[in-house]
Amino acid sequence: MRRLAAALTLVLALAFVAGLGYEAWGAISISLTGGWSETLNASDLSGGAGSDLISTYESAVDAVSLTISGATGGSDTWRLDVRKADATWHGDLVLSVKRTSAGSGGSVSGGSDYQLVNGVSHTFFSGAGDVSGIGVRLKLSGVSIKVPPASYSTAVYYTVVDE
Amino acid sequence: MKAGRLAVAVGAALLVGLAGTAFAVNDTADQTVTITVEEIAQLSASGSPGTLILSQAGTTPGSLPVAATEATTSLSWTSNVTAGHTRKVTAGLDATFTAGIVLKATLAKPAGSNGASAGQKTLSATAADMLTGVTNENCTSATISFEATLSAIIAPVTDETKTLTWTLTAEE
Repeated sequence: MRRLAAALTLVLALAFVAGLGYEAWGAISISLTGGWSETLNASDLSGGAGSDLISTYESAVDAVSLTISGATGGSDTWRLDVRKADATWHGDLVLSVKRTSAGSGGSVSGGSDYQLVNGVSHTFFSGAGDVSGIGVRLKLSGVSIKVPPASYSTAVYYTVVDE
Repeated sequence: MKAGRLAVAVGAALLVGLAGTAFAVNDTADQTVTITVEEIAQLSASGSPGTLILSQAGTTPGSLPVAATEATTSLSWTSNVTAGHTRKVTAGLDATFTAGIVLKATLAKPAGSNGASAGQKTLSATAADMLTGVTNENCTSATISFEATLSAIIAPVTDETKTLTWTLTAEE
């Protein structure tokens, strides 16, 4: 019985130490500001009546600003994954993202070319340490008059993964 | 292995597992991207047709003058509609011609159109359906063919001009 009590005490002690370790390690987190909405109408026809809609649109250069925080230091590496979940979307519409600035603080690499955003999470770019103000630009392509009038929306998820 | 040691081993393994899970931390932020496509109904004509002249040339004594035809102009349009809806192209004169003058027109279905030509229609102050079933499409060079005839012989008329209005509108 005494041995069992000792064992339980040890387990609790380990749990306590692990908890402290976790607190010390910290939890990396991401926040963002900005967004993008675009309205397409007759003014977006490439050449007036008889012409099609312009097929590609881009958001402002820094439409989205990402901030990564909670890294344990400048060498604490992480990666950023991106995916989307459609609310109402049209199959012809294609959404892409690219990183337009490195922000300030730690370091980031990759993601400076447009890459497709779909329902599957994939790596956008990676970095190390806390970084604030990472600029992201979005691009919509595949637009044509074949896309019926409606409001289309999708949620873009940015996930930071501590590595 | 005794119970105490076993508990320690299991507990340690569990903690290691939990720690591994906890340290592979991540966090997610999301934003909504919204694209609004508004309804578009744009129509334009390439210009005005040449004068249609009903003359005695070719007219057989005892019959009415032969029809005058003209097909140098065309329409272009861009249209999108919500699901289940269609548009049509109509044509209507601002006023009727002198009694006896009959003006007819045909709007050909252009390449890329989902619509159907209504064939030759007599033009009047009441808009006539010229092409129906227009959906999500952009079309150019839909040829307009005019034909002017007399329904009865009338006194000569010089340069009688009317305005023909083409409209891309919702179908009932």
